[in-house]
Amino acid sequence: MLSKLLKYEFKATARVFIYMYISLLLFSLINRFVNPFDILNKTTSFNLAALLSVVTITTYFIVLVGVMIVTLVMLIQRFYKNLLGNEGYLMFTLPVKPWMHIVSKLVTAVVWTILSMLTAICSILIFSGATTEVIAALSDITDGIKGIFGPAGLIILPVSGIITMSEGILMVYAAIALGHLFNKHRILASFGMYFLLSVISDIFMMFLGFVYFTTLGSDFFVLMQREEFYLSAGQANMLLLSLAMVSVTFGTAYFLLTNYILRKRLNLE
Amino acid sequence: MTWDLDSDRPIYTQLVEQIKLKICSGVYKPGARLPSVRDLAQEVAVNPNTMQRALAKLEEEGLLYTHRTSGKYVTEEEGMIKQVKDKLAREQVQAFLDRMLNLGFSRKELLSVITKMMEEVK
Amino acid sequence: MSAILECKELTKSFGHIKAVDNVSIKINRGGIVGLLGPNASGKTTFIKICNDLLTPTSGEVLIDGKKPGVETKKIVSYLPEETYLNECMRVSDIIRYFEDFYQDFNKDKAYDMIGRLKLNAQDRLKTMSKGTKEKVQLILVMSREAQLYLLDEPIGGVDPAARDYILDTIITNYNEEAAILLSTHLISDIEKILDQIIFIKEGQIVMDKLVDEVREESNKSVDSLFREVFKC
Repeated sequence: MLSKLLKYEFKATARVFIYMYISLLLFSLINRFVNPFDILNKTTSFNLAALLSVVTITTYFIVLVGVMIVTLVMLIQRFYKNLLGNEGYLMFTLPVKPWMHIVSKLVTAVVWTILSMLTAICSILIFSGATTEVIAALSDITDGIKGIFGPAGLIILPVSGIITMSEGILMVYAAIALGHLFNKHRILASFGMYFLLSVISDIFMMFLGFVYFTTLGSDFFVLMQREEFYLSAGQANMLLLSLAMVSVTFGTAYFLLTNYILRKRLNLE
Repeated sequence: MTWDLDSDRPIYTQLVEQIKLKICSGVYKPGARLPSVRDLAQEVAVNPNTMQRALAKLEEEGLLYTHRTSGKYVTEEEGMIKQVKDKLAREQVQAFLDRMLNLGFSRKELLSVITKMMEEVK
Repeated sequence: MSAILECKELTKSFGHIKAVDNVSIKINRGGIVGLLGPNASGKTTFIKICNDLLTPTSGEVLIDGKKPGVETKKIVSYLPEETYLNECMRVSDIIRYFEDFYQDFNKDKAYDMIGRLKLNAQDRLKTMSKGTKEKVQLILVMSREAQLYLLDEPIGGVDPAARDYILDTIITNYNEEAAILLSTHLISDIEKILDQIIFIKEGQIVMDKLVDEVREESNKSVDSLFREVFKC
């Protein structure tokens, strides 16, 4: 059943995202031919070509950020519209447990978000022409990661990134579910709930941080105050993993909350 | 084929009456096979359960019989059909007579009116 | 005959309003039951509870002896009032969707009915008129070989010819092992196909009888009786 839900979830969302990503890549390709960086490098005075180049570069970055934002917005909207709008009448009468709906939406959201990031990277590479400088910059980044976290970092960092991303998405879902509990102005309530959840999770994190630094990690605190703060790769990974665990805990809490609301407090219009 | 059903009276009773009429008037000929319960129900736009009950009643009265797998048939006994027809006729006439006598017609007046009208109809 | 749907003292409150108030009903297999009442009398709320779309405040509903959940959703076919399908989908996509999720879905029946309506299975829902969309939804719901059909206002907001089509579809798909519950406030059109009627007023059951009994006892049509019972 879950696999069927995933199949249809991807089918329903694919078209928009693929069009968007291909357009972005084409846009960057076109811009590549305009070659604004080259123009800017060569001009000495402020002429029309220089202006257009600046405009092109700015527009490009706006579009890039736009694509990331649109991806996020669409995924949120998908959850709301498909489960809590009229389509909810279909979804919740399918012989499927509500948790599967949450998981199928979460998985697709994570996949599309990752794809949007990868597309963004590809698009930057295309736009900038994959020059030696760009490639050098990229390998500097990977070296930096290896430096702090060791080679394992190249896996652990993305994985914990995905975990944090999932937690973030689950928090949004929980906010939407909480907003659904209201009778009127549900969308507004969802925003309010999101704000509330962020505040609660921030307070909790601060509290956790405080507890940690006054007990287990008290030596960290001392070390940090000194200029020469140095973490071994093992310690850095441990820190990352602990943060990931916290993320998993929060994520699970949001998931359980959303599941409860969808099972017991559903009230479709 | 028209079916005239009133929502005021039990549909079941009306179905029994109307099928009986159709048998008597020859719309459903002796020995003919009736459409299936479902098809009949669809034709008349009534609940198949109700149609089933009506057909069962008619079977009880002997006007229909079920042939194992091939469905319901009108009885071939023309004598029985004639009996039912006569009974229906008598009921109608009796009702008519009652109404007319209530209106104050005498039997002689009634007879002359009827005779005259029947000649006109020819 | 066994009860496919049974509810005991079912109550659903929203705040202090009792949308469904102490309802106890039994529906047997093979029955076509009308849940009749004016707007906001609790019909839709009741049907939603049977579909596990709302949780009862007290009391219980059992479908084939089970509480509403995944197992009952497999045997219940529901037609809500709203358009609940994704409008970007084509008819053929939706048929495949239903076939995928519901084991009792009969694809051939669905295509047959679509064909008889002279619809193109490649059309997208959003290109259709409201009436046609409703017919498509009905076809999907009736193409399932379910044990309980819950139809919420299947004939409201639809022209008379479409109404006849809908009633015809319901009769044609009739099956003695299943039961159909339809809720409506348009009674004269459908009363001939009902065997049992349940009148609901402000969440409470005011009558629960066999249709022909009602006609015999009161010498009225269900429609006239309804007008009497629910006089404003």
